[in-house]
Amino acid sequence: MPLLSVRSVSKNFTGVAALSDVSLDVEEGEIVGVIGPNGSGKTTLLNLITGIFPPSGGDILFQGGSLIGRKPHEIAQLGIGRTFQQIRLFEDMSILENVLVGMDFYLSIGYSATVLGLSRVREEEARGRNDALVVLGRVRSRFNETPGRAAAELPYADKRRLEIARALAIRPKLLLLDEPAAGMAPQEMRDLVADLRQLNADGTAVILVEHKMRLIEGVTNRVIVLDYGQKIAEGPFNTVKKDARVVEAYLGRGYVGAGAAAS
Amino acid sequence: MNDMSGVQGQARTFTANDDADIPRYVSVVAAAVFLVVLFAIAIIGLRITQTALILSYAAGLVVLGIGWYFLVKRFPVISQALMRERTLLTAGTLACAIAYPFFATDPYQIHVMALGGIFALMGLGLNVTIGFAGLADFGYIAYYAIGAYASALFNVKLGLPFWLCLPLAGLVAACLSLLVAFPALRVKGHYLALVTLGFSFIVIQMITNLEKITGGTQGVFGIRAPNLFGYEFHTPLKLGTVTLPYQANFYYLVLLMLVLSAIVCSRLGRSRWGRVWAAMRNDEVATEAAGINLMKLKLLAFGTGASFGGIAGSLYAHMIGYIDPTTFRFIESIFLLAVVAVGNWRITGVIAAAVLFTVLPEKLRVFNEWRLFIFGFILLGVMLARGRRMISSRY
Repeated sequence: MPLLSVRSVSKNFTGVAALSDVSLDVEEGEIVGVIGPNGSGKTTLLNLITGIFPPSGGDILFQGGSLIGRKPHEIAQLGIGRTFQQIRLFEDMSILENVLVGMDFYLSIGYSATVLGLSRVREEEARGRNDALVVLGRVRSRFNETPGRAAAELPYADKRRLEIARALAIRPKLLLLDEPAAGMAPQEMRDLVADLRQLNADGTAVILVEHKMRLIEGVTNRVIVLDYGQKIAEGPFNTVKKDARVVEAYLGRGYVGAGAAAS
Repeated sequence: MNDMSGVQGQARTFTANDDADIPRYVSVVAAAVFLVVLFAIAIIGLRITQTALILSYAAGLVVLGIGWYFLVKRFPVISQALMRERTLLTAGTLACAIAYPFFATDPYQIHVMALGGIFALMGLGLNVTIGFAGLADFGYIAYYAIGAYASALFNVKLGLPFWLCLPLAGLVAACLSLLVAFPALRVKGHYLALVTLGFSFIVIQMITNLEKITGGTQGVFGIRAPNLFGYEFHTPLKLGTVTLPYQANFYYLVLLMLVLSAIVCSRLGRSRWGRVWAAMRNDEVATEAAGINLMKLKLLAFGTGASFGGIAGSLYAHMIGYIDPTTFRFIESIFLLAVVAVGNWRITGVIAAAVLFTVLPEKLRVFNEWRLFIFGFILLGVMLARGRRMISSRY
């Protein structure tokens, strides 16, 4: 049984077909790349999986159970974490607090215990902070040196890393990354590759939406190519990049047969 | 010195307050002097009654304020010392508040201060809803009215004692707020503001028109004052050789409730609940994607805020002994929003603003018709100075 199974899913936005009849499987511990030109439906696919809006047709199964009709927070609790194409950090809050929000689901202190100020509230807060520091350590950064720094002050690449750390805090079985390398310098991208390989080795499956083909080539087991909301190719990156339809989607009809595609 | 003075607001790290390079006793003395001077200024201000004197007093305050601003700018060590003694300052302020009735010349002043405390209690409640959770509630007065009427009717019609009516008022207000919140929370931002505004009008209309229960425009009479183990709150408070007017009883009751509420607010603000509320305020989509149930958080914020309002209403009803629908005007909701914003969404700020805006119109009757005007200007200033909403959630 695949970890995630998207079965002929469609999504229409008032007549515009953002996705039509797309199917894909993600096995446990796999990194699957999703590529395609702008507007091909990659982010829509992620939004359907995480329940931001319901599909117009089809089904999405996670560990055998359907995700249709479930709320975003329930899907997250089942073990699907995500980052966003437009960074969505809690800018007012510190690095550590951002991760603590991701972990909140695992904290057990109740509302009334907090109001009454029971002593175990403090103990659990301290424990939560330690756990959050461990999560921060899973992305290559210097977050652990300044966990109290405000998220708003972070450089761009660090914001992307912090988003990944926050998504890791929910202990996902499947991590959806929406263009994590956007705006990253070469060294930062190498760190990202190393991070992704490490968490994949720890058993986390990943769906990676990305435009930087070097990253796709470097970490994915398999890629899925979308164009105008349809799946046009699937397979290892090195095979897919020679596919005539993929080359056409990226470069236009005139380039078909020219050989090296999007690299 | 840790060079954090340039960093704005709460981006402060946790080391910023711990290493001012002046000895401890100096900062303690500085904090004590600061507090005593402030208390003296406040007492003097409360004692003078002539309009001319009050105006020159206000002018003096402005001069002092400007002087203080430049003094702190020139010697930032002063504010660092005061920041380090925050706990001491809080305890000292509480001591001043306890001491206040002994310095008041007029029982009516104590009464006004108690009203200010009730207003501050409401401010803290609204701050949970709008400051912590970022839910725009423009009809907060509804919970105040519900609490006051619930408490009054439980007392007058069912004969329940005040000490039972008080928590019941909070509970009833919280439950009714959830009733409206459940459908209302499907809408966001200014739509939510409109729904809550509508709710408050409905509540006031119902109170006015359900004459059989609420007495309609006649109001509810004969709400009994609290009675503590046989001690009537309407008898003067004898403490050794000093006798305080009976208003002091209510003052201390309100003060106690205010302190308890401030403690609850501070606990919530620093807990995981304050943290996820702040996250929700920042970005609902990202909070949901982190596995957090937004509806539950919103209901908690609404219910908690409303319960404070209900308790405030109960205190008011039993203090005055009489309530009618005109007590609960829509404009009070707006005043409260202004108080919360002027108080910069911080517990101490909200309390200070609420007390100030209760005392000022009483002090300066001339100000009364200008109240909204002045509010508007202060609000404008606060928004210009701190455009981004901030909250005192610490690392």
